[in-house]
Amino acid sequence: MKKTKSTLAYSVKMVSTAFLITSLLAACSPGGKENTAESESPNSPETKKQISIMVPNFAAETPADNNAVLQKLEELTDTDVEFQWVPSSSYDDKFNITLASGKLPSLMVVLGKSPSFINAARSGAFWELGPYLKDYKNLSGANEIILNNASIDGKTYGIYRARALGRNGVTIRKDWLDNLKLKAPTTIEEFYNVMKAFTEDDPDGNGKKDTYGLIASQFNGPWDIMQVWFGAPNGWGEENGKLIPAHQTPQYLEALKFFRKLYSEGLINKDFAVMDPTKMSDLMVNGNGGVMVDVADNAQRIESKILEKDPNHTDAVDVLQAMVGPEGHRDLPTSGYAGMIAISKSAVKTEEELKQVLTFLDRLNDEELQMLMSYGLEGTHYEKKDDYIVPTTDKLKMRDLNGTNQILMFIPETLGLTVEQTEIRKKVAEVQKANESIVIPNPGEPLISDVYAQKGPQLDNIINDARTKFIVGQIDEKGLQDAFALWEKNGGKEYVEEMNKLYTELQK
Amino acid sequence: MNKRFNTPGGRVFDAFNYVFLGLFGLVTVLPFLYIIGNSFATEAEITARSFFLIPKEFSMSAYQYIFSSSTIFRSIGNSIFITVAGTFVNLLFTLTMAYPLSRKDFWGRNVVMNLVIFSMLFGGGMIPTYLVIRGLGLLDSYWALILPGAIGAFNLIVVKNFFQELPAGLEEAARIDGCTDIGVLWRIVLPLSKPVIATFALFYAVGHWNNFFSALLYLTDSAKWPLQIMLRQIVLLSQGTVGDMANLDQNFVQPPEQAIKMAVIVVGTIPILIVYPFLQKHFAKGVLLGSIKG
Repeated sequence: MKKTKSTLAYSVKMVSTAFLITSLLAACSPGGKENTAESESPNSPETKKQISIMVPNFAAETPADNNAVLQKLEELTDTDVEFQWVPSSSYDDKFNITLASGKLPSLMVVLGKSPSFINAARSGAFWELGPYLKDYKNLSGANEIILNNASIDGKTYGIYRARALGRNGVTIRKDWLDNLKLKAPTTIEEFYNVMKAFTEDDPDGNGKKDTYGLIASQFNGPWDIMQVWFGAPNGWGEENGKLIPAHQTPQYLEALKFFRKLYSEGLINKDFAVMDPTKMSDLMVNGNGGVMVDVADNAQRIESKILEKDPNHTDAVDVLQAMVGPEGHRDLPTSGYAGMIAISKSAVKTEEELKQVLTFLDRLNDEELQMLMSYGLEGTHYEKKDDYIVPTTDKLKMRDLNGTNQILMFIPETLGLTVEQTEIRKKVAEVQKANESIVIPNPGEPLISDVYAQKGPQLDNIINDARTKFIVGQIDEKGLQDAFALWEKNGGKEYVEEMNKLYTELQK
Repeated sequence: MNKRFNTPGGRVFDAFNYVFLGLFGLVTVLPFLYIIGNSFATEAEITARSFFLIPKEFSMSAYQYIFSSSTIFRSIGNSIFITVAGTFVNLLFTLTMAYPLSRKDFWGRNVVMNLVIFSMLFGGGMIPTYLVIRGLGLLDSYWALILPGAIGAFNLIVVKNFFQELPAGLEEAARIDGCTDIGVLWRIVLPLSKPVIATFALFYAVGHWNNFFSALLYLTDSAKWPLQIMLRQIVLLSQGTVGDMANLDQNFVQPPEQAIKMAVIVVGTIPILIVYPFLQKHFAKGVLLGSIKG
């Protein structure tokens, strides 16, 4: 008995130790041989250039690897392009981890100047492109202002993806204006009157007082846009060569008082502070509110939604430029770019390779490639008609184009045909073009502040919370000043000092 | 049984229970009905009506769209594979590690237990873990989703404690009848542990089914993505702020239609709903009772 027990105990020990060791080993050893990275082994027999590119995908599905559009792209650029699609909702995580891993694809779409990108760029993970751009047909036409906006310490680490600089506008229910026999507002005062009428004079003619003027939401954009009308600077104002943050200007307070008045008179939706921003356009489509201050191209989306509901309801929306305020006609611009495309040094090792990659990027700005990556292939994804194109309504075919336009830079400009220009689209284009002469640039935009990198979100939150509370009447002017003081105390002071230091350095 | 509640107080109690539980049930079921209803509606109706359970106009277009490509089938397939294979590996390693650790005569078990507990308290974080996975060559392979979490430290401890509770006499009896060590584990311990195995199988399986993050980090090949990545992308896309829209191109990137979003949620939920009832019966207790006679 005793003997049996000890051998049993012994074998229990042996077997369990063996199990443990195998399980520990299994957890630490590479599983399977099939996962040696395929991307590294050159698939093509000839010396075709290879470019891997990490792209955010804003659709639910990624295009198939060998679909017709991507094949055509490879054919036209004579390049083997390997796309690494990343769902846009998680792009930042994937981006950071790819940077940290040190093994980057040749090209990366950078969505913004995030701290991790700035660090990577400063520590030399990406090529500095400034000196090279002039050698390329399209890239040499890059806009200096936008290049400056997109730069880090004045150096270009990525080729910006151009967007309309003067993109913001006022979308308004034109049918309501017509019902009330009002004309489109042009000044802040007229704007106020229209909103008052939209709220109180039953613009939809249903006999009920169920409408309001301005549609707002949690999203800060509309307030930022409107305060510029009142003369508040875009982010940073300049006074005697010194930068001051927007909220420290008297014009900012003026604007806030106006918003507060709108709110207290019920001209804004009461629940804006908790409303999901994506619902904004639905409120306009459903006839709850009449005015939206946001990107101008919202107008065409809202119109198409209204037409979807009621095909006869044409001419329902209009889009206007910024209202003229006490300091003249001013509008908040966008940065003029939506992220950039950076070239990594770990995948693109030599200057010679860099030039090949730049040639590829330059080529992407040709009309042919812009059309291909935006609209696909003629006959499959769109048909040509007179001077515009008609995209197919077949959602399945359009899948080939999910995200392909994300690698376009539109430098020096958008070329080629577009979809048919409806009245509202033409108007949007007019407004955005006209805006370019009245936009107020942000002198602080190219400056990279360390304080902001660390405390930016908290600092912004203090100001945005205080603004919302002031508008809805939870705090008075005293409370607003307290919040500004809190901002200074929580790092705002160092932020301003640092920005000014950087600003004087940049001026030299 | 009825008699007991026939007093006025008992009836009030009953009524309260019915109302409360009914409301509670409604709260859990309503969102799902709303999603199902919306998935069959047309886009115009969703924009026009704010809340409805039954669409006026019945439309299958969202489902047609989803099932018209192989993507969703492929990602469901990936999810199922990861869940099944992952759960199998989890159970294999957890059970075979928990059993020796539960034996008092196992040499060095305290050291091993301390290592396990250490791993619960200190984690490397996202980037070091990624570097380890990359160093092991697991990138772009399903093993990256299965192996690093093969043993959940907490689960291991619970299973170990469960094994310790088993009467020692049972094992001794088996040994006297000539059972080997593996035999004891396979023929005595595991059959008695069905409830705990079922519970942890479900824990692990749901964990794998819901996991999108490691797939996102470790798999670049979108053909290998599980369903959850797609689901999350669709749901988050339609929540994007207008500010995000400003970053997009003006003409053709638009959030997916609401009905499609709802339909994907429905499709994504069905597989796990099918599995649940089959595992549920194992949660019944009392398997252990009466296994020792005398």
